[in-house]
Amino acid sequence: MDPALNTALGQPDVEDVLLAAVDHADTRIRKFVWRGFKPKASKATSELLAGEMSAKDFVIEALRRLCDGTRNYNQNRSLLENLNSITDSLIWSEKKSSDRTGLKDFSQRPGEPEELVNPILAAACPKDSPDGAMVNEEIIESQRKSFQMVRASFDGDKPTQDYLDALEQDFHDIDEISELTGIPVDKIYEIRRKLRTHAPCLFGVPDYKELKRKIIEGS
Amino acid sequence: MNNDKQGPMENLLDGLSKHTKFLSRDERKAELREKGIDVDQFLNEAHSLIASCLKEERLAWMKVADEKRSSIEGAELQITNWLGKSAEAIRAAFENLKQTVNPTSEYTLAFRNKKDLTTDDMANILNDYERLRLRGQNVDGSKDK
Repeated sequence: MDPALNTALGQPDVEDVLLAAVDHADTRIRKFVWRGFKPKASKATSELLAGEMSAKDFVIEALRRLCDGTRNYNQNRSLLENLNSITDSLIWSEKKSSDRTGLKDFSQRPGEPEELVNPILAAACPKDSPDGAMVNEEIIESQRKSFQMVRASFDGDKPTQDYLDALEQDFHDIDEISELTGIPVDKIYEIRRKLRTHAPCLFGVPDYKELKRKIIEGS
Repeated sequence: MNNDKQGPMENLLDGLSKHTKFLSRDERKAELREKGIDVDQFLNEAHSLIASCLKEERLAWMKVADEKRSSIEGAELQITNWLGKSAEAIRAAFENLKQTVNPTSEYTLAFRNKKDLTTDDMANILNDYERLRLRGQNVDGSKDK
């Protein structure tokens, strides 16, 4: 085992690193939803799956590969960055493999009727096709509408809307967000904490339909 | 993901994920549970994997020591005992040894008077030489540095 990995695994914050890694993996899978990929949801736990693996399975696999030396530990990066890099490639590989089947996976939650999929109509379109750019534009437009819906659910709460706007514009640095929005850094921490209670709406959805339903129902 | 520009929802998910570092450990766990992730099972599995890897790492030197020991024990069994051989065989082997072992090699022969050596002395020298030669070899046949 790499000595730097050995040291990193013995640090007291290793549990925080693992939690961040599994969150990163879950977000990676969840982002595919907004690209038209319909991941399966585990019937037992409702966690999203890419192929047959969940976010935690990907992180465990990444950890195993680092420990047994299948993947080299990059000493110039943190343990979290090393794990994230491996889970990204594993998830991407599962997604590609799923695309190659020509069938799109579908989400099915307990008690929900099975959705029939026409394999020809649902076949994945190659990225480099002539209308690839148009498809991407459609995806972005659809995401924009969804984002507006999320944003509108915070009408009357300007600081939260400003925070969401900053994230939507790809500003992730907390000081930068504070400077842009005029919201003090401490207040931004509070907003992020508050958003946790909205998790079922913002994060716990496997698809657009579900997001819309949850926001409208306010659940 | 791919080379396409990220959309608003993807940016939002990325940002919210990066900012989980502002949450306490319990808040973070609660948020993961909201997403359907069995956090306790995940942490148990991860800790168990880490513990087993670190244990394996700690005990790696013992494995090397065991391999060396079995190599030496195996080598002892392979040594020919020249004391039980005939006087002619011992003399022939000793003459051969004198010619093959030169002063620049790793093993040298040093004694005052070769003429006074008995066949038992020669047999003992041959045994010692065999033992030294085999101990200098690793399991894979390579020599120790």
